[in-house]
Amino acid sequence: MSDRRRSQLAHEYLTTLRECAAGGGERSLAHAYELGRIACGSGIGLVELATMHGVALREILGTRAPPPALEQCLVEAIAPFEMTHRGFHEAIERMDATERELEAFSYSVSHDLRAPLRTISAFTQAIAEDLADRLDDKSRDHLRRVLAAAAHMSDLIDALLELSQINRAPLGRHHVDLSALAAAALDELMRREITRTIERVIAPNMVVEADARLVRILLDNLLENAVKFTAKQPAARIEVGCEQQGGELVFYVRDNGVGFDMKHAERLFKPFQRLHGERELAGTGIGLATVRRIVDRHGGRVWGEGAVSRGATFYFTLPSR
Amino acid sequence: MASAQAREIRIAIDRETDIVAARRAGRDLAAWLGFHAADQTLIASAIAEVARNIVVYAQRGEIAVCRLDERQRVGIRVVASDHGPGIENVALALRDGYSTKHSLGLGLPGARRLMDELHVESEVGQGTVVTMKKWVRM
Repeated sequence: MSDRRRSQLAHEYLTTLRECAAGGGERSLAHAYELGRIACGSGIGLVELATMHGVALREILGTRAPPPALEQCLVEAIAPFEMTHRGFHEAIERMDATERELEAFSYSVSHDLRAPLRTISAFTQAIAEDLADRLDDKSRDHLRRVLAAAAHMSDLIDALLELSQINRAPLGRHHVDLSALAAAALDELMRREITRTIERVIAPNMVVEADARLVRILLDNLLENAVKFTAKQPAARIEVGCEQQGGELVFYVRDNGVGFDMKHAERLFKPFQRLHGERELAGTGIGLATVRRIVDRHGGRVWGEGAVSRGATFYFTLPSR
Repeated sequence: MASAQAREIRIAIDRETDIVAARRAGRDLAAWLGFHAADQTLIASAIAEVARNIVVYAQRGEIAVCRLDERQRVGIRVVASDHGPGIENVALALRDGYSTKHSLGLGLPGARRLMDELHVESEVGQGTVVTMKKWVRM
């Protein structure tokens, strides 16, 4: 709304208030309501409206106390705001409900998918063992592929379940030794990679006030990516550290692996958006979505920097309350 | 006073100034029934919205207000009726931002939020009846 329309509105309000003071009754109140409606539809805030009322009131009364009818004028002008306020409230509630439904949906789907998958794995395994000496190489390979696909699907379901559970539990806030958690997470990951040597650098004494369980999941996901994407790097290096950026403590996980193209930087954090072909690198495509959700719950930010074949760095903040 | 308020009060609506009369009738009845001052304002506001719809879309119509009695509670009923063009899709009309993009939450959806109940019956070419109820908070 232009300044001219604003002062016109203020003037009309003053006129209305004058009429109200002179005993205008419902007509004045209806007019105040209409002016409030205009204000509401054109981005004038409640505070501005109340100020407009105060100015008009002083103009009419000077220092005398206002009669109730003049107070009522403001109440009427505010009424349309009450309507839109309730509208926003409803919209927010609807959004929350949709999100909760989605969570419940993915949770139950993940659960329901597990049972048939276990059956598939178990009986395929049984066939492979029962017929071990009668199978030719081709059939053996087919069964191996069925089992591998079932295992991959099981990983996917686990990741989905983890993603859906992040919002379910209340957020704890405790002192968390991020350095120790990162070391423990890397130890565990390295147990699966016994043939590889990776240089690891973890900055000491990194402490955050956060939910320890979620921070562990966050580090698991980032470090698992780092281990995975340095698989073909003969001198692999993974670094966990922190630095001050613009008065804010920023943590990072850095690797010298295959990296990524910065033009995909935003897509990284959406579930099932994989940049690397399935053949090259195993994974679920849910890891970074999980990371983002954990950081979101803590009110922090997460972003990635990288270049193809030059490694990747993932930054995140976990602000204290 | 009691006998006067027991029957329905009907106000013909065919120009903007009639909205004032409808608001006044609603507010007076609401005050007499024991609604809090803030609720009186909300009722007058809801009446303003449905009366405005009559003037804008149907040109003329009527607003009727009356007392509601149930075993445990007392309330107000507002019926806005017209023989205008009617509403093709009532569900859509009750959704926010349907008629104009600048009136988020005003109009019919706004009136619904200020009252406890709002019901719309409409037939294209025949007209529209909006019935709203609100109960006195104990």
